[in-house]
Amino acid sequence: MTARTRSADPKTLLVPPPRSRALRTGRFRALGHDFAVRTPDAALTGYLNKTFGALAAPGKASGEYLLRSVRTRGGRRWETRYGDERVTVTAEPSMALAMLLWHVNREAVARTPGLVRVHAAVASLDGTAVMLPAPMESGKTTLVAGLVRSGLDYLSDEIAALDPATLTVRAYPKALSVDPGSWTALADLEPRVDPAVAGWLPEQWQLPATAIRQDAVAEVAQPRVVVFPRYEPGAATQLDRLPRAEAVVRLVQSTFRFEEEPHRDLEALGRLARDCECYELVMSDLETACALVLETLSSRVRR
Amino acid sequence: MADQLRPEDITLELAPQPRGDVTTVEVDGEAVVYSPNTGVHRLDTIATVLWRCFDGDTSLHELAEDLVDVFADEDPSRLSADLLAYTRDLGRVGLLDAVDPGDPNTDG
Repeated sequence: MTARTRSADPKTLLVPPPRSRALRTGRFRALGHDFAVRTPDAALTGYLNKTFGALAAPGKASGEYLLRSVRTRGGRRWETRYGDERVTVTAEPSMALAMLLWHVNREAVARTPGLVRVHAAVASLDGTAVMLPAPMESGKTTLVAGLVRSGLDYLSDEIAALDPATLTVRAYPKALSVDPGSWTALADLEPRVDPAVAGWLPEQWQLPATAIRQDAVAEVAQPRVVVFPRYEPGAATQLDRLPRAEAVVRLVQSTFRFEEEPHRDLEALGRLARDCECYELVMSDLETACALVLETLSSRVRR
Repeated sequence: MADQLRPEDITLELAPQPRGDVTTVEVDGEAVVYSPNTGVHRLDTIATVLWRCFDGDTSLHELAEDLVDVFADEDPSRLSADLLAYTRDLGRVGLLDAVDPGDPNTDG
């Protein structure tokens, strides 16, 4: 009988890690973050392979997450680790998975220092992109989901990764993280979930863009329109021009780790604003918002 | 910090200069200036023109004289007052060398 090993935390007794290869996902690349996930559950492994499918890459990952059950004196807990880093220990498996998803985004930003990383959703039409920078809860995921449903290609719902030399956006096509407030507006896109993984899932859909449209994911695109969305229940949905200098201010405020390369990033964002039409979108109705953005982007594609 | 000016103490004798650690980009005639200390600021078109002139050698008095030449119809004392007001505003948001913006939460 194999003795249980004791972790660095004396309160935690580890359950032996899973040995089956079937419990390790494939390799994924989230911009500069290269990872796989080891889980205690084949159904969960399958779910993650599907959820991260658009990030799949050949070969062996250089980093690995571990989701596992641990026993503590307080009872059974769920732990998320990345290599030697303990990301979380929690009573809820759904929180363990939510923290893994959060960590992937964080590392995608941290491990891609060569690009300007704007907190924005991005969609494109014929290689011409609209960037949708906004803080959390502003509706950027909902809007980009609606745009992809309307026929645009998908690059990200979280990070617009701009090459500072060419100002092209490199895709970070993670699954769209759709909050409950948007489930009605996107009801036709509700993901079908294996009941075996239901206990793992946070109260947030993880919607692969390929589930909206099989060929929805684009690799790279050139932004020509920047729209700052803001969800405002009950307000008239409208798109208004924004002075480009104001757009630069807002882009700076939306840029991850701006203080690390302020000269490079400000210069790039200035050129981006000069190349783009910039707007503010107040939205309460998704269909109208999508129509307004599509019309604006289409006019830039035709030019 | 003893020889730092307060923004309200700026006079026309000052030759303003941007702080060495600020970064500026211009878009459609408006400057966007980033300071590691005070964040990002958008300057209107007039402040942007002045900002370009702040070289640490040219005093506000000299700049005011140039402005009088350009805006011959304007009252020279009004132009000087506006120039001073703009410069003090830039000092208050921490963009000028040798000017202490003070505590933004404190009046005066």
